[in-house]
Parts: sequence; C-alpha cells; structure tokens
Amino acid sequence: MWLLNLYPRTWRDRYGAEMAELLRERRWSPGLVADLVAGAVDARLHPQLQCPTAPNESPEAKERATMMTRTSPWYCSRNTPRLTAREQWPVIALSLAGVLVLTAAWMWAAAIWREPPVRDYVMAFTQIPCFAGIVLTMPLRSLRGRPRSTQAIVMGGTFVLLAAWSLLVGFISSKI
Amino acid sequence: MPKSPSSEPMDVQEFGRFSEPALLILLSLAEGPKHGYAMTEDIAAIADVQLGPGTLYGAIARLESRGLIAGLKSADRRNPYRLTALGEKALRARLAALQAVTRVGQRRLGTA
Repeated sequence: MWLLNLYPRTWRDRYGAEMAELLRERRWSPGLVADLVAGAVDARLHPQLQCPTAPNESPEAKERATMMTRTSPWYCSRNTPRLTAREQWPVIALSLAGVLVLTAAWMWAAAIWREPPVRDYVMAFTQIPCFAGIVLTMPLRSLRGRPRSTQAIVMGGTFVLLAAWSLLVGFISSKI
Repeated sequence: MPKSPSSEPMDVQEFGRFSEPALLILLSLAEGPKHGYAMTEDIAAIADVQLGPGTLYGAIARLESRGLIAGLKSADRRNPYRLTALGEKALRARLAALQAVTRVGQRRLGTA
C-alpha cells in the first residue's frame, strides 16, 4: 500500500481508495510493483488526468473543484492543490503583506543609495517585491503538504535565482 | 488544459500504451457498470489479460477525463464506472475498425 504514496496527492484523493481495495485482492509480485511504479510516473507526468471529481467526494471537495474550475482554467495543467475560499484568505493576506514589506524595504534602499553604481543595483532589485507574493505563499499553495525542507529549498532557490538575476541586471545597467 | 468531451467519438488509440487497456475497459463496461476489481476479473475472462492497478487506473483516468466513462455513486470505497454515450460511440467505432482489419487479415490468410 505504501507504493500508493508515490502517486500525486490529487490522484490519491480520486483513485487511492479504489486502488487500495484492488490491491487487497492481489498477490504482491515484482510485476505488480513495476506496474504501480510505472503508473505513479505516468500520473506525475500527466497531472491533467487528476481532475475528474469522484462521485463520492464530499460537498466541500466538490465546491473546491468547482471554484477552482471557475477561477482558474489552467488549474488542471498546473496540478496545484485545491483551495477553499477560506484557505485563500491567508494566501491573499501573506501575499499583500510580503509585497508591501519588500516594497517599503526597496523604497528605503532607493532613498539611501542614490549614487551609481549602487543605485543601478537597487533599481534592478525592483522585481523582487513583485515576485514576493508568489514565492512567499508557495507553502500555502503549490508546496502545501510538502516537507519543510522541500519548501525551504524551492523558496530559497527561487529567491536566490531572482537575486542573481537582479545582480546581473544591475551589473549590466552600471556598465551602460 | 484537459480536453473537454466532444460529441465526436474519439479513438482510444490516442491513449498510447493505454489504448489496449482502455479498449478492454470499454468492452467490459458495455455489459454494465463495474468497479475496478470486477473489471479486471471480466477482462481476464474475456481477453486473458491481467491488468495491474497502475495500468487499470491510468486507463480509467484517461477514459474519465475524455468523458468516455463516468463514475457512479457508491456506498463503499469501490466506485463503479459506467459507459457513457460517447464511450459507446468510441467503442463501436474502434470495434468496427478492428473488424475491418480482421476481415482483411483473414482474407489475405485465406481463412475467411
């Protein structure tokens, strides 16, 4: 049964219970394990297949699916976790707070460092507050349910990439 | 984005390595609604093929996303599935194509 954990969560929500029931009737063999692993790889490669709602799904789950379908037509292809209306408020609040704090920090830096070449670097960092909302809310959206180490690596890595890109833009700007 | 079910019957051959399991599932559901285990038993009986759970549900997910089959409400954890009108069309189209190939093959082998 632990092999079912290889499948994406949305897949397990939809087909996990049925597959577990089916596995109870089967004798374990290398062929069965290979079939499950291949199925898990396929499920991860084709997230768009995880959208149909189960007929036995709770009203809340159905509401989530309907809401996401209405508000986010590309939901299926992105394989992001489903959020209820209540779960979206912390995402919005954290996103706004992150953008406001980083924008204030950037404005403060821009007011202090007005001379080139430092000014060019500060200007290049304008993009960071814009992406802050997306990156900071990752643990509540696309990385929800993932281990903290994964969340830290993805979020930290994204910020490092953005910072590296900003430094490169700043460097080029200072040389022009 | 997932393809929305259209009124045109689709060819299950588009499912790649899942095309044969998908055809067998449609064939099994043509008899009436079945859950996963009943499908595997039926398919083993009619085609002598033992579908693994990964293959079975990979094909079910494809068929369901294309609207060829649909899940039914169930009291237990084993959801039965039924063939939709679109699924029936697709099955008829695929069987007709296979029949045409079989006829040509038999004629060429002189067994028709």
